[in-house]
Amino acid sequence: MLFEQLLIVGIITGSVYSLVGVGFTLVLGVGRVANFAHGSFVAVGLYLALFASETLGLNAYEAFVPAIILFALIGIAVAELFEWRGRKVGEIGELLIGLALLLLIGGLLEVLFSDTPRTINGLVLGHVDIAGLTISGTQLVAVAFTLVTAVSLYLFLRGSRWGRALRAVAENGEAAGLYGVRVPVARRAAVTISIVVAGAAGIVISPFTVLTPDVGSTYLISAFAVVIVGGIGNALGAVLAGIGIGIVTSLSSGYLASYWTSLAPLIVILIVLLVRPGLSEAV
Amino acid sequence: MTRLRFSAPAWRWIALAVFFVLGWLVIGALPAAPVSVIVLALFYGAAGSSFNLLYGALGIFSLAQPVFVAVGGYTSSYLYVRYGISPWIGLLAGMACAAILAVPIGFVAMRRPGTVVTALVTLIISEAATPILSAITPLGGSIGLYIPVKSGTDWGALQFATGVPFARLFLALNVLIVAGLMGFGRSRAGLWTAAIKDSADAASATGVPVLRMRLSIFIASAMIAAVPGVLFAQYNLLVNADLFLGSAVLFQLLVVALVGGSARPWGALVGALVMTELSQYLSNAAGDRPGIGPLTFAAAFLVMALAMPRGISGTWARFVSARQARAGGGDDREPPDTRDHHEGNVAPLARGPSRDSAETETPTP
Amino acid sequence: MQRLAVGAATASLALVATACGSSGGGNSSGGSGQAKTPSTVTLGEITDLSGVASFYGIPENHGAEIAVDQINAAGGIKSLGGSKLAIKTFDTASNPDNGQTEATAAVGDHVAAVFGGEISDTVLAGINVTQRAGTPWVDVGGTADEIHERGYNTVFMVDHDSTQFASEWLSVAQAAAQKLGISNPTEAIAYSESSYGDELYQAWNKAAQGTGLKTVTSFGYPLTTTDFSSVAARLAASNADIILNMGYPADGLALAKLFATQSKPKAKIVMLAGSDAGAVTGQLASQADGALMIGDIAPGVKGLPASFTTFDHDYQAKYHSAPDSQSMAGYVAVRFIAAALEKAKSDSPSAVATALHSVTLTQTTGNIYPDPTTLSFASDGALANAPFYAAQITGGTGKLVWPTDAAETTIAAYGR
Repeated sequence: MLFEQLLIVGIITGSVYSLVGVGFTLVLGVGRVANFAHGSFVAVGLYLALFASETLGLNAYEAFVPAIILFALIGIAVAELFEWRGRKVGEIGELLIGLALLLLIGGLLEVLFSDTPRTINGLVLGHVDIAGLTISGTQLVAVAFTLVTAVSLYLFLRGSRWGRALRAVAENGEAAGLYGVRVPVARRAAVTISIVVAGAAGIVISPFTVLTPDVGSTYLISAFAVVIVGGIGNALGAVLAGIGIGIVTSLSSGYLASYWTSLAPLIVILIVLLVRPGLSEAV
Repeated sequence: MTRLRFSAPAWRWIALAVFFVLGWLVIGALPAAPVSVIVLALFYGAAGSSFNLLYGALGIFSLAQPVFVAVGGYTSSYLYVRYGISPWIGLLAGMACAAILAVPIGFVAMRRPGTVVTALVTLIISEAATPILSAITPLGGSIGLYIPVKSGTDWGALQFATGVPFARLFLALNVLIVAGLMGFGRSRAGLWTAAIKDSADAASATGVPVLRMRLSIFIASAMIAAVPGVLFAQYNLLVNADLFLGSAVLFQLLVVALVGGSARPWGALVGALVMTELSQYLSNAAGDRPGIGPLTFAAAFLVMALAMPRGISGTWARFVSARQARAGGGDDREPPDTRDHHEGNVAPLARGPSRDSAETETPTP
Repeated sequence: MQRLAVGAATASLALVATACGSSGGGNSSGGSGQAKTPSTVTLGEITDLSGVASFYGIPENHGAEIAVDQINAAGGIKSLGGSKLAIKTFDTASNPDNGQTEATAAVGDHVAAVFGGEISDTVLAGINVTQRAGTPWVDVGGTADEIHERGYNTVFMVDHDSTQFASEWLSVAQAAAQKLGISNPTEAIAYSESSYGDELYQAWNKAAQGTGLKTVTSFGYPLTTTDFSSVAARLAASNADIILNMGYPADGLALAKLFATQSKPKAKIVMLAGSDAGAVTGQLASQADGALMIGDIAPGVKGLPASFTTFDHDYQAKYHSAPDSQSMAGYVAVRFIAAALEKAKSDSPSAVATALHSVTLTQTTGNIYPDPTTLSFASDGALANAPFYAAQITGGTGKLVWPTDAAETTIAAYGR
């Protein structure tokens, strides 16, 4: 019974990792920007959902579409920022901005919402009883959302003209430029999309997550792990990696002695890193 | 072969010596409160310098530096608490332990070239350090070790009645590090390193032992990072994972190193003095309004990130180059080096391909 | 030569700027220790007003300010000619690295006494400074036993330490087991892998030796855990009679929610030892029903001294929220220092430190707790009797169940 339970919660938790990771792998692999603030945008999504729930009386799904628009605007602005600095000084500029945004967003959230841990209640979407666990509908929606997002991104990058242009830019910007792809636009698009995905992730997981202002750095670290295991720029890899890490973490937390909860997944990640070829993209 | 960024004409050594002497005297003359801020600043400065060594010399963005700081602190404290061994010996032992650990960690960290990948990997390693340290029961688990207090000043036990000796020790440490980096720049090892940073393949072709150099510098940076760990442990009279490996410490280290910039050996030191002072000032100015101190600090950092992305030393370096270019050069000054390897003075179009010729892997979306 | 001058000048400028900029934040009014009747006595509050620990640091500060308001309104420190109290805060921002820096700043500002602190490591680092300076530090929230075991005679603790805290919770568990008719109870423990959680866990184990309590499973979780699904599943699946969490407020909140919605435990006794009843019910309301947590004192509790009612009224008027355990501790810390100032007839830190050893607070002189009726420090600086309150969530509100003489209701079983 415990095993099945751990497996299920591992998949659900893993989907959250995947969702955060898929945006990060996009910004890293296609946008060519290491956005240290990626996890912080998830946190913004969470707190936006809190704000919508408390002040506007909207639940997460009602607030979803307006939030996406808001994140698109934020994403465009941030992408512009990265592009501006990146153009002048290269990746160190982007790392700096990412770090600065991480600190700034964390600080803002704390001042606006204080450090009291928060939960958002009221959204009940039914539940499923399985293996002695009660899984809420909102969690299933989150898992579904993860899969849909990852698959859509994958198909977009593979199939559509714009997607192929983005991939071309990722592979060889100079050549892509020669073929008429407007490289800066493409990269900005990738960064914007990743921020929208991050924000959307925050909204979608808000019904069952405990909010604190520093939750952003925790998600950043999970995103790092997912990208290492799943491969940079690989949307489907991110899904598998996230769920895999989620399951490993859950099982070790469920069965092993202390400290192994964190060590086991880390060891798995390191092994994958050492063993698999072709991990890194040229960043 | 280009002249190196770190090579230093004679006057710089003199300036460094003057700075050291002045600093020593100033610390003795200051009241206790500024001295304690200086201790904190110089702690981050030393740790940040170890980071900048890796980043400036080899372009390696290593987030594993706090691990070596922790190793230093834990080693000396453990030896003192369990065996009564003086922390001065513990300091050497700490450096040795850090050097030993740096081999596997460096190997894993530098296995895949590329800034971001190294950052990812070293962060994961950093994350693993906390549970590993906490799991080792003789090291006190999560609680850590409490260093027995000796009242008054005890040089043998590295404990002092005021913060002044600590500040001076940290000052000496930072000066030594800067001097070491300056000397390194002129040495053969430094030449090789610059060559590796430019193009690992070309360097290898000319006989530079690439892997050995990379590993050696990684080990050196680990040993450098261990020392502030020892001193800080003695300053606080306790060690635990949170003191060295909390995310606040990592962020502070990065802020300090990046604001200071890796273009000059004194980059992290200056960055640390500036940012720690700023942080303290903003915290005082915030009064008892919660959260305002860190928020204003983050805002200031963002402004600096935008205005001085190469850090203070990088901006200084460009300023100096620009002046020399205008003045036409002539004496034994460092020639302008406009070819910044990790900086994008190239058109956006060309940023697509690999920045390091050793990387040509394709993305797989 | 010109270069040398420029270089050296710049470097020295940097150092001088450093010195000037960090003059410990000036503005210390009075409290120099030399004036016979200073107009203001400044107390230094070294605590976390930013970062994760601000969750406790801010209420601590609020409680302390209420004490200052009340004392000043009643005429200040009479033995010092009516000097008023003032608090100067030093924010350590939830980073123990700042402990010594802020302590040095406080001492440099010639405060009569230091109080506060919500993270043990911060306090442990800072007391090195205050002890050397002879300035008393009244710790409010740091729970490490080491704080009063260092052999520092200027350190005092106004709240329980790990040993006291764990023993009290053990008493609650035993009383609950007895009330619910569970003989030979079994336990499942999840604790936070931090110095705080680890020490609590070890203190619990030590206290539980010989009580016959059997551990079915006990494990730690990383400090940075945000998703407690697997922790909750493991605890619930253990089928232990007692589920215990030694962790931080956010941990208990997450677990309470999971126990109510996802992994419903069969345990009859669920103790979330690190969480505050008021804070959790504010988020979860009746979802948290049945859980035992740190209790908040509120009007209606048996045996409430009038001093609490006044405190509660003043606090709500000023801050528009109910006080919690740390607010009360902050208040009491200031009261202790004020009493010491009165006794010492001086605002010199060493005099205050000496006086603190022999000060007793009664329910009319600053003790706002119903139980114990008097508060004083043991010889090592810890409280001789530390107040401890546990509440059970019933119908969405926390009702005190411990200690029994202040209990509003008896302990019921967890579960619907």
